Amino acid sequence: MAAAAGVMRRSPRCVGEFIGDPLLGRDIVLGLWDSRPISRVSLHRRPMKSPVERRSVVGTLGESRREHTTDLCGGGEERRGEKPRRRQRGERMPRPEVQAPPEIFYNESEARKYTTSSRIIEIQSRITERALELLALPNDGVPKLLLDIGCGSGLSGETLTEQGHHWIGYDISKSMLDVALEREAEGDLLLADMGQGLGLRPGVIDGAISISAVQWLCNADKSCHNPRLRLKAFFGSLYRSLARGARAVLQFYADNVKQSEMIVTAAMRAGFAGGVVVDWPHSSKAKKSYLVLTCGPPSLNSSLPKGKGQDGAMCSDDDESDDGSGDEDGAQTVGIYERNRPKKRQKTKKNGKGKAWLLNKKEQLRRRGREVPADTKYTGRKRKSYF
Amino acid sequence: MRLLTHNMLASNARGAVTGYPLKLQVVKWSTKEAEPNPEFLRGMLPKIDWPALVAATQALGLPELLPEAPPTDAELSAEGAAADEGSALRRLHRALLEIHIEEGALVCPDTDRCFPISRGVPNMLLHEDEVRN
Repeated sequence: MAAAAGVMRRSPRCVGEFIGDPLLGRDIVLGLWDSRPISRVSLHRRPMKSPVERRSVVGTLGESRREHTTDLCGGGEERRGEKPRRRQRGERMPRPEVQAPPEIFYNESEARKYTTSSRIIEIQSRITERALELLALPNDGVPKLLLDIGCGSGLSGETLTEQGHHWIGYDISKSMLDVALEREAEGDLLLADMGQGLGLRPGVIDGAISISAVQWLCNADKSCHNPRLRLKAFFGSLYRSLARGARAVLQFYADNVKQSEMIVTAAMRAGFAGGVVVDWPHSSKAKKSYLVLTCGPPSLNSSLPKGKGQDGAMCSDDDESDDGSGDEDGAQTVGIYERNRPKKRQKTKKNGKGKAWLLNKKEQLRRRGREVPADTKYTGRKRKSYF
Repeated sequence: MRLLTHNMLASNARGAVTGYPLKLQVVKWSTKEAEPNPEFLRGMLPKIDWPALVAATQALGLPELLPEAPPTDAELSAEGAAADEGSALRRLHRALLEIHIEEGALVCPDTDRCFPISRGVPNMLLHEDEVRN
């Protein structure tokens, strides 16, 4: 595997042709014995011991890690060992974002979990309470009109209703909204895609929360999706719909730093002030990022609140955090090889720099007092081709 | 969907200039009792587009529910308004928060794009060729 990978890096060729390093001999010899075109041998036989895996980062702009693995050689001994692997203890479950688009991932059975799993319900309501805390609505007992973006089954909305607020919930999954209707969510529900813009009149909303939804925008699930444009449409319409001085608190799970940067940059471009508040940064499971945004010019109110547990304090249920995830992460990102890597561009021109340039350079060095060979008829002369 | 949300909602489709107000086509609507909250309504009143709200109540077949002009602050905060069935406060409360549209459609005024409402949930999803950006 390591040898094959090294080969790929040194001699990029087109997919069909590749069977191994000619210097190793083995694969090429097989190809010659077999008198069939090399490309066919490599695809139908198993000339190599190690499988060649091709991993590429898909997901637009390289931001989302979505790995498509293609085995070009149809399996070898090692391949047999590594197939359907069960997840081991401590290994991370793949994020839902990399599995399917939201309207498909949150199907009926997935939506059902949101009424039956007490763990999910508890986490959701805890995050919502924290988001409301960060939203810092004026404590005057007057109900507000809030947005819940990615309301799903209305779990977060329930917390909003408990506080007496009216809310409008957006979600793209019909199954989740059906569950919300079953649970008799108090807010108004809309079946809509936040990446297409919220479609609200300007300046009418008093605040917005979103629980684990914004990261979906970083994925391109359809060919017409462009994450940057979708983030722009979302944050732009959110900015317009919020009243001046209103806040938005968006809890999200970024897959990597780039993704998080992309989300924050899109928010800032839309005109928001604010930043990311991270709760329990030292725990891998309890860690939650909240994008706290303020609409309008920065003021005293728009200073960022502090995240929980930043000064080394540990979260109560921290024992379930796993330390192996960091290594796992590293293992997943290694092994990305481009087959058709472009050759490093040679900077020199075809004909070299020329005699005038060389003489000028020698003159310069001479002026600096360096030892320079004398100019002769051979200086700067073109070499014979057989050299 | 309540008329409060209808009052905030605009069409997002490509070609819509303001996309507001969405024309309301009602097949079925219902009433759900809710506790009136004068402070909320007073805070909401400046944000409400009154002509759009009146047009919505007319589409529901309730032309007498709301007057032509929006109620004043004094009318809303009048003593005993929350208890009085016919007061401006109670009417506004009924229009905004108690009437739920169950089946019907919202129609964009600029493009005539129709957003169906089923089980009280409007489907605002756009096709890829209708997305603005």
